[in-house]
Amino acid sequence: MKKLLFLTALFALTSNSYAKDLILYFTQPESIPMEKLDGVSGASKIVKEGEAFGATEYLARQIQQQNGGDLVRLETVQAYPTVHQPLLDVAQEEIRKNARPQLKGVPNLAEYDRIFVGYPIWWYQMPMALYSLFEQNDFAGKTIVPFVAHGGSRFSGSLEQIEKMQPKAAVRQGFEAYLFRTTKADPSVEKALHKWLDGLK
Amino acid sequence: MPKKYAFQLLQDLVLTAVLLTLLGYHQFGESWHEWAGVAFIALIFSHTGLNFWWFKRLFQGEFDGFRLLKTAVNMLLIVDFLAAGVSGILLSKHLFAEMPFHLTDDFTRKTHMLSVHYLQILVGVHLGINWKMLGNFLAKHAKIAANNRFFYRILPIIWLSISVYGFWSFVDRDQHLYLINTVDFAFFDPSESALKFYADYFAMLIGVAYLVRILVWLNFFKT
Repeated sequence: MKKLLFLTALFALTSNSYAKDLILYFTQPESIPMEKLDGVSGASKIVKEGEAFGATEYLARQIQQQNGGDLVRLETVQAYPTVHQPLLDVAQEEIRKNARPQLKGVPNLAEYDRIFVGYPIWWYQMPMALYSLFEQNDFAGKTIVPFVAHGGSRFSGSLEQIEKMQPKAAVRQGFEAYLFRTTKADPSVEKALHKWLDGLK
Repeated sequence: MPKKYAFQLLQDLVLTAVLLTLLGYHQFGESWHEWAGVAFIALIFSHTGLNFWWFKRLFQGEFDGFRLLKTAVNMLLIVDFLAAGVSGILLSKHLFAEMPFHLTDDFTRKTHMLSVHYLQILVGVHLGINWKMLGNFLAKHAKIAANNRFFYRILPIIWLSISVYGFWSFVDRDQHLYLINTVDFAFFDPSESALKFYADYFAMLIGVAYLVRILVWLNFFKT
């Protein structure tokens, strides 16, 4: 019995010290047929080796490849339009109403110590779904590592916003990349991402 | 100093302050940005109204190089101001959001971003062209002697230093990328102090103005 307890304790200890990272990302690629993804900006899509990803999803997968961790896409109950202009309108409407879109199941954060959170910047801030995430979940004592796919505005105040909503979490200097200009995967972005990940350890 | 001129001088100072406030889109929140925009439009109408004699005399007399430059810059300023003002009203998310003309599309947004970055430059050029006139005017009314050391020796050095810093700041902030329209969304740094932001934008404005003032002098007034 003692031995069993010891083993359980040992297991608990070791599994705790090997707590996995969570990579949670919100991506909203627009529905443009593959053959039209010729590098035209604005689609929030990245094509790599013949496969198209959402821009934020692309960063999330890159992080998982190098760092490991559970990859989870953050989704809302009410799906967003996949066409550019209607998406712009819906996103602005949500900001004006200060909406908190309902999320489709968030993974159990207690299992993780470090949580990478990826999102685009819509109208100079995080999509309102991220406000739902940070207001309705407890990140206390956890490390939040933001990563952002944007069109020039970089973090656009989102780091400060996350710190405000989760004052008990440690918000790390995140990673941001201008992924709006082209739909082709950019080796220099991957290089910068890998360097940033190395610096996190 | 006649009351009208004193008012115009004060108004132009306020106008400059409001312009800088507007360029700091992120400093006081969007609602303030929009109110400041409305105030700016009202002030520009007042500024143009009080200088309406300029339009009346537009087609009179001879055009020399300097007058041609002045006219061209003012015309560009009017077009650019209209583009910035109209796109701003159409984009408004607070004051005019319920209006039937409300727009959210990329073209209007980029028009606003491009026109305001050119407005920043053109206002500097406008100020630079009128710099000598303003300086003479101030010297006359403040009764500054022609051999005043501070006004004619030290002040130019101060303006020049501010200008050099302004140009450095222009490059440091990648402002040129906005002018060639390669930025989709502007970058605003919330971790930077408001004081640094406004000091930089003031220096950039002075930089353009003082450069133009020197070029104008070299081209048209050097004897």
